[in-house]
Amino acid sequence: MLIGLCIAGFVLGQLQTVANNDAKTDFFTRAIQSVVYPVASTLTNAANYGDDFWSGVRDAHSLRQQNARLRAEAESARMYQETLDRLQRKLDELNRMNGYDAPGPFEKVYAGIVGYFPRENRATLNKGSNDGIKKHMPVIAADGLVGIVDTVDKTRCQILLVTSRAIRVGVKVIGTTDVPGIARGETSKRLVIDMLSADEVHTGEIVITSGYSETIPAGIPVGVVVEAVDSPQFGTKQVFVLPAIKMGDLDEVFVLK
Amino acid sequence: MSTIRPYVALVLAFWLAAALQQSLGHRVMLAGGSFDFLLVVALSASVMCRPVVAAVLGFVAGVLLGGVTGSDTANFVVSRTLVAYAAGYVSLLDLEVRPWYVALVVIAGTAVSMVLMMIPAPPPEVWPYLRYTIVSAVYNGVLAIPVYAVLRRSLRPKVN
Repeated sequence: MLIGLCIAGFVLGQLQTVANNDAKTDFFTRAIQSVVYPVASTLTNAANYGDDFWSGVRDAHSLRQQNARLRAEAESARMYQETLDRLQRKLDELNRMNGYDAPGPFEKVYAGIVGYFPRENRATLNKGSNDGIKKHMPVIAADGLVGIVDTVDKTRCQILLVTSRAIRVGVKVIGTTDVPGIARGETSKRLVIDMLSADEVHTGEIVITSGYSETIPAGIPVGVVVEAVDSPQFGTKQVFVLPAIKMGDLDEVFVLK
Repeated sequence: MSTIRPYVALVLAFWLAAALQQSLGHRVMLAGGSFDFLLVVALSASVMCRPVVAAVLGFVAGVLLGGVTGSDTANFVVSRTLVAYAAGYVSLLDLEVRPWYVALVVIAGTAVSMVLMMIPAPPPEVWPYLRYTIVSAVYNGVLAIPVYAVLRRSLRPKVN
């Protein structure tokens, strides 16, 4: 019996070796593995889960440190990316400003914003009468009209922003028909244009300067229509406009003289 | 029903041992040794069987181990069959088998079977292999105590 079992073992081993040499699996091995595999697979998964759990417990401290380091790295990467984006925006803005051709008789004078007073809707520029700046000259950025020069010093000037209630700007709403109007500041973030009810104005339409002025040339973007409210009893319509420029993002502008 | 129960218990034990061998055999390495679940089951059951039946258990353990590892079936079968056959003589001795006897039998059986494995396929370095053999034998001996306790409840009366 013992010898028979040993001989059977040799035979099975020989079958296995022959199959292995042919890069195959013999019947017995295949049968055993197919019977054992489902349970073994479950046990392997459980063992893997257990390994993960215990390695988590064992490495908790270093994982926490690693996590903190990675968070710090992610935060610095985010800040770096924000800085890059901001610089890229500024570069784009400067490129667009450089690419802007002053219309007709106007000439560009670059100026830096050295003060910004949102409550008063005013800003201070580092150019003044020495550079030929005068009252009522338009101030423009790459995205559109910023405001109008109000007071002038030798080396500085103060401007009223386009959102100021103190200025009126002749504009046109570019839609199916171009509708002219006078824009004035309503809040520090919005302008309003009073129009007739019959005027066709829709949300999303672009507002530009009309050019019906000696100091402000035509075609400078002012903003975009965000709301149009009818007052049928008065036969008028109030068109609210979001300014094209964001003062908080601006560093450089130019004055058209 | 009671005559089938030991066989069912053995089949389940070997099946679970083979699954453990495949999933955990390479994973549970402690101090350079590892468990041989199939050999533990075969030897723990062998001490309750006549030598011939024990030899069959050793044969089954060898075939299963060869199938799980996919190689060396002949070596596994011969070494396990001979060792289990020898372990079967414990059942013929006029003594009350205690768990620690079984542990000793499994330790000795593991050591002998691994030395037998050396004969057809000598390892490149003998001392590390012997160290592995000794540590693994001790582990198997320790594991045999609970395995024997479980098997004894299932196999009594003896499988003859």
